[in-house]
Amino acid sequence: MRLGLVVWTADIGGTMRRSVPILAMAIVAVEVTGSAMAAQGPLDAKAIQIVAKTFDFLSHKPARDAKVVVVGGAADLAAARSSLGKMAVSEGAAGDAAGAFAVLVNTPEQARAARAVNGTVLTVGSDVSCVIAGACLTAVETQPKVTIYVSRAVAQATGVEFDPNFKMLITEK
Amino acid sequence: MRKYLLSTACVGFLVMALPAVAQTVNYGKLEDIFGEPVTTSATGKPQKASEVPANMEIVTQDDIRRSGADNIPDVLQYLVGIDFRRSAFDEPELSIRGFDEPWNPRLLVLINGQPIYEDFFGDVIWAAIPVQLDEIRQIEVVKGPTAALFGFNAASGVINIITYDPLYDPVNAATLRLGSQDLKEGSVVATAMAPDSYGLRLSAGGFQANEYDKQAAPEFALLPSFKPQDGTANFDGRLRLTEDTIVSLNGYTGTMKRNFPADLQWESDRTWSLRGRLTSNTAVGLADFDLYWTRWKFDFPILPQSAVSTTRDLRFSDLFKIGTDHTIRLSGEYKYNEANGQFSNGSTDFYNTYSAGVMWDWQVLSRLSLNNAVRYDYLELGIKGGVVPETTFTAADYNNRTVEATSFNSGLVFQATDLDVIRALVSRGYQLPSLDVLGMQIPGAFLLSGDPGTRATQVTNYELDYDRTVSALDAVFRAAVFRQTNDDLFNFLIAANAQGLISTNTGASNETGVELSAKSRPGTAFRWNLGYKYSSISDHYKSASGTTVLAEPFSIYNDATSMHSITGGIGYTLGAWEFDVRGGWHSHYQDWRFSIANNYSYFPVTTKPYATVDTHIGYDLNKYLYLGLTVDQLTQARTLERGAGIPLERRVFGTLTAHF
Repeated sequence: MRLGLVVWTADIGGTMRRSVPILAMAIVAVEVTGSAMAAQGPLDAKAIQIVAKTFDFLSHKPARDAKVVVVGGAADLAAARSSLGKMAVSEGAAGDAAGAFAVLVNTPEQARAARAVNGTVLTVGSDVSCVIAGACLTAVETQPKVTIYVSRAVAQATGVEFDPNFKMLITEK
Repeated sequence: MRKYLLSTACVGFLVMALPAVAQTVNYGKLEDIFGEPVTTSATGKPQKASEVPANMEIVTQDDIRRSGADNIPDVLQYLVGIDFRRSAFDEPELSIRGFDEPWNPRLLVLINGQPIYEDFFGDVIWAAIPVQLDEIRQIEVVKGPTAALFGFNAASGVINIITYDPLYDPVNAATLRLGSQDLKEGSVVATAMAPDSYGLRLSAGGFQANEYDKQAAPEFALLPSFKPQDGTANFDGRLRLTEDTIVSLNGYTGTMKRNFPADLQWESDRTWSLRGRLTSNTAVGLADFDLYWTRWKFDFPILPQSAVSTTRDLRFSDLFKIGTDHTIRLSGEYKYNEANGQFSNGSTDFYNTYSAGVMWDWQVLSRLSLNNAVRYDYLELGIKGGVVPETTFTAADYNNRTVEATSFNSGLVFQATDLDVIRALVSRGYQLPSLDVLGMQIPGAFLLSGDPGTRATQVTNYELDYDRTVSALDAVFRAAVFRQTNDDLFNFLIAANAQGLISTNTGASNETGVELSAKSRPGTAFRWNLGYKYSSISDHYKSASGTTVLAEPFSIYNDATSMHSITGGIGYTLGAWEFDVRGGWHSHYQDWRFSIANNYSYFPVTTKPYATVDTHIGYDLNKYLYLGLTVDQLTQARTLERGAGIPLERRVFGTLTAHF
């Protein structure tokens, strides 16, 4: 932060320097008030569609009939079945992650439980806080615009690799 | 040529030996996921359009089709900040934020990142651009210098034409247009592919039409009678060598013949290009090796033989992330340009340019990002052959001449709320003197001479942008305020003894501008946009020996740009029908017309304030056939003077597109 402002100040010259501290204060104020992200509900149809499309950018793509588990209430089950094509989508518990390609979860605890059963399973959170907690691999926000969050630590732990161009467009935590 | 191919191949093998996973940018899928276009034209890094540290407009394939236009300048002419004039049927000129002139050398136009301007004059010959409208995915317009990414000539802005990717996009279409001015135009685009494995897209197209009425002014009687025409052909192939590495090979040729009223002559040009590219994800990042060769051949009536310019360019970049918040792009480039033949009395002028750059993108906070990019260019000028003694220059003046330039782009993007984005931008770029400015030498009673000592124009831009999403209108509002300074402009001056022309640096010109725009979000049945541009340009020319006489007065910029412009459009989709109207009003500006009767000099022509409206109706006959009807200048008199060229006529033409 400090370094950034120093670099910027050097670039724009003296005439705008006075406005930089004001801008900085405004940024920090927004950052503080905006940092408490509102909890999301279950993944809706749009979010599920986006999750499905992100699978195309994995280095190891899922089989067409891969198993996907939706932990109770984490996502709209009908939407998940519709969006994930021929994948075997079923409702279950985190403990059902054995042999699954992906698990859609509500909480960080469910994500950790799923990974305890299956160390390479993709954990998709219905809430961004699960990624920030380092429990879910990924989470999707669709409002006000589409943002895809990915936990770098979980990706490394599970050996998941995304397409490098796609990686430039996601928000890593 | 051989040594470049060899070195590229060697580097390619090294890259392939590294562990990797990779794809090229799949624009379609990424846009589908993120709900907005994705671009690399601002920083070299794939970014969502709403997050780029630049003032950028993206024109999509839907926008192109709904415009009803049959050429790229007409598609872009109503964008806020674009200045457009057309001085003959096939002689359009575009500029970004003023400073428009014939042979505009300040605008860098690219196809998928490959520069397509010709190096002798440094301008863009739109008629010979080897791309059909049906194969364009999007046109990205960056306002302001983007030289830290693209180098010389990205001085006022960049237009990057992104085509569909034959690896991912099966585009097959044939278009036929017939209309007034006896227009006959056709194009075909065909793709053969195995998705994500290999693909080849072929395209070709051309047109022929009658010139506008040259009786409008006596000066145009000198222009010969022929039908303006062009034709281009292009191939674009991709092959996924491994899961990690993709090679591309594409090439094109184009030919055109048109009137050029600014010089009261015609010109006929041909171009050829071949490009190879290798992209691979390696242990040290996403590496991109890009090599192209381009050749232009010019024929003008004043030249007994053709003039030829050639470019060879080798570029490298490596894009990688450090941690979660930092992205770095390292780049290097070697470029060789030469121009030989009739403009330089049989000698060959050339330059070698060596460049290195770095881009650093930092996600400082979740709502704040900072992007800094810097690039250093080192140019060596040279000449093969003699120098005309009357120019007073020697071969040493050429061979010892070097140009060093350090350009930068810096941008702070602050997402103030979910609806508000603020961008603070500062950038500097350089407009390189073209090879005619540096090395032209045409002896005779009236000597034409370049000057190898001509300095590059330094363009600096300071800008503050504000974007606001207005949910109630389902629209985005944008305001931009900028200040642009141009130092060391250059031009040809009439020599003190009035016995010739010589190029030289003439001074500075500065611009203050305001741009306001609002447009509906894409995807709605009812669509609209409205924009306003204010531009104030002031020239500060130095005086040589008391008076400065510009041989080419087009660079009296403070009169050459409309101070006020209002542009807009409205459209509606009703089932299979599309209805669109676009238009604009521009305040007066001054252009120049060449006259032999006027002592072989230019005289000013003032274009009065004018408005123009273009309309298009489209109809999807079925999933294979599309019909369109375009009327340009719908509400105007039959002719409309937009500059000092041949007055434009109303155009009416029909379009039939078959998708197969």
